Amino acid sequence: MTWLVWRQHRTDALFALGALAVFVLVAALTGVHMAGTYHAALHSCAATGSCDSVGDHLFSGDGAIIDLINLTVIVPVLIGVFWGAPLLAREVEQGTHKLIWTQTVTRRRWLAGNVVAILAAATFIGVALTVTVTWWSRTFDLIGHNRFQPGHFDVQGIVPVAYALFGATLGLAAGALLRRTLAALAATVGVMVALRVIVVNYVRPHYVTAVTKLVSLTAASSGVDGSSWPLHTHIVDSKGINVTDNGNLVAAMPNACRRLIGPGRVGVESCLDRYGYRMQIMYQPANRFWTFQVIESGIFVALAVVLVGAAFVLVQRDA
Amino acid sequence: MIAFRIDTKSGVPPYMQIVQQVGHALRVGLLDVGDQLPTVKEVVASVAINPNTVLKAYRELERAGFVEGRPGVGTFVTRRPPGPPAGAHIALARSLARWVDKARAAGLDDESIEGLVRSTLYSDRDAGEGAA
Amino acid sequence: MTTRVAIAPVAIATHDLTKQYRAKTALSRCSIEVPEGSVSALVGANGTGKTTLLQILAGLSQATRGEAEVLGRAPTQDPAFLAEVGFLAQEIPLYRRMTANDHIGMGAHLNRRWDSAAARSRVESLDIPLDQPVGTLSGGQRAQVALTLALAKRPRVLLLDEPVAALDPLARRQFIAALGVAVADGDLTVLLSSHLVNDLERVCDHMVLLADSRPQLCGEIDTLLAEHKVLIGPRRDTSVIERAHTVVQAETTARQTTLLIRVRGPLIDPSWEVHDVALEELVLAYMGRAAELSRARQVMGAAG
Repeated sequence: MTWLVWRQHRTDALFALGALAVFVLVAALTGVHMAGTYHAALHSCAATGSCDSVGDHLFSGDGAIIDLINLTVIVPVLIGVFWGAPLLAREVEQGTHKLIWTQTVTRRRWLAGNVVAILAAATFIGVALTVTVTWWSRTFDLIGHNRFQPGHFDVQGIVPVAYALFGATLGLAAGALLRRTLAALAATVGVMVALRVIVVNYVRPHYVTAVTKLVSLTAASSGVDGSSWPLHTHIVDSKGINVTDNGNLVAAMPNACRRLIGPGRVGVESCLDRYGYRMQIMYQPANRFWTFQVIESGIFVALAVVLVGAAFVLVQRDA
Repeated sequence: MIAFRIDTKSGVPPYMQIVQQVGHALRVGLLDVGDQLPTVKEVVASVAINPNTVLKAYRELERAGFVEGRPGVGTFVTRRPPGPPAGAHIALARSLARWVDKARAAGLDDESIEGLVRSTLYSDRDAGEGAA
Repeated sequence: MTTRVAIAPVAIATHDLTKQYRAKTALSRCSIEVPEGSVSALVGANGTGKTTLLQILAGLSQATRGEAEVLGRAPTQDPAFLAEVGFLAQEIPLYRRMTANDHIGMGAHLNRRWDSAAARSRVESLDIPLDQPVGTLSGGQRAQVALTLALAKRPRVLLLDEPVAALDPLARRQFIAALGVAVADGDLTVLLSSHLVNDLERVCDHMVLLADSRPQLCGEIDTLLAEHKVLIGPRRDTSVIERAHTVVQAETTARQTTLLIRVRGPLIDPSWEVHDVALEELVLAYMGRAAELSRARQVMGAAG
């Protein structure tokens, strides 16, 4: 089996390896450069005492490389589209499944050989990418960026490997179900994008119950670390009722405070503070990063396992 | 060694065509006692027919006593069919050719010649049977 | 349905084999037997279930009902079964970018029993380049490569789906000769489908005729031909013949009646002129009868 898989896919494999090498090289060069810029900036800001805002304008000229790093998020989709979807679908389209499935090898074994190969390739690419990107991003992390943002969370740590495995198996299962490369390709992209949008916006924030913090309306700082993930911020009255979201903040205000609203007037915050109004902040602390990585990876690896199982069932259908 | 020709349109079963062609080759002297017939594989490769057909033909010839299969060696001619020696055919063929020329000169086309030969053969056979 | 005396053990047998797709019955209660060592023609019009039957026998499709046996085993995803059966699909599937040599190497990796040397010398003897992508070869050459692969496995049953349909007459002849040589090498049963009977008449000694998703005839070709006669005579009532024999096809003109019958007993009536029947004539007669019966069934179905 290994021989056949290698013979069929060696061109693709070598192409992918080449692209990966170019990417690693670009990331290494720019990563070293950015680290140098950062340390130089630290030196000069220490002299003027302005190090709090050192990151604000540091890498504004590096947009292209930042985009490239962010784009690695689509690599799992590419693995699904170019390797996963055609694995079975192209064989059926070219009729070669009838050649291969009538040799002295069961379909299960044929599929197992291919699945092992594609999962190994996906793991390799996922690991290579995430090691590169995580290393590259360490300067950003030092500046104190929010690592939960999709552009960071999705391309660092261990989730890229889980996404790569999921992408590969999604393509495989779509190909096994639809048996047409183009349809499987479209389904892979559609499902992957939809699932990621849902997970990022509706599932990821709830992996662990968010921390809730009440802050005085007159406080200078919220006291929440900038590298945390702020989920929700609103004003609650003295009874803890949210008065921001239903749009009746002004109506709910005590008259004494409402008079202070308007051009040129000040003191509404301290007025509300006196009446017991507080700013309620819900957020995920920065130190939960790895917990979230493990939970999200677990979800996608579990889905990948289900998809591989589905492919093994679907391959038994009539040729 | 002789080569076979199979005509699938003739209506004669292919195995019978082989039997007839061997018989003809024996009568006209193309094959003689001790000669080897082509192997089954050779026949199959050259005329693209079923090997069982060739085997069936050779079995038929063997049953008739003209050939003998020697396992692992081949099939060999053991006996010629009864009848005049090969030379007689050649002499008769020559005189038939002369007769055909004469018939053509008299204005008969091929169809009429064939019809004449066939009716002569049949009337002759009927007469022979009647006499027996 | 056949009165063939079994001289050889049966290589392929099906019993009431049925394949139902959503709305369509591709194969209906198909029961056939192909003796070991024969080359059997699976004849029928397009869409009569030939491919379905071959794919079920090759283990590529599952029957809806009924049983199939190839060399005494039900077709399954079992290496012991797969090793004995060679299959060549109608589309002659090969990896277009791989060479003949690559394919032979692939077979060596995917089969327990595999004759690489014989396969290479076979391809070479046909003047087919071993190291050129098969996508660049002619249709006839590709068919020969595919047949070589099917034979290199040394199967005991070879299933071929319309193998000569796409070939020119010379390539067709070469393919059939190659097949005959493989059978002459021994211990091989072949079932090959075609919608044309002429191609197969030379190489086949057994026939399965499918029409309307059902087997109409199954037996040794010589026996089938001997069992059928064409009767020509003046126009008249044919009920006497119909009682004693099976009338497959009847044609009547103002003065003449022509019958194709399956002989079930002695033919005593001397007023019929009796002729032998050619294979193609026989096949067409049964196909025509099946089409008529199918139409009649549809009319009845519509009426009921």
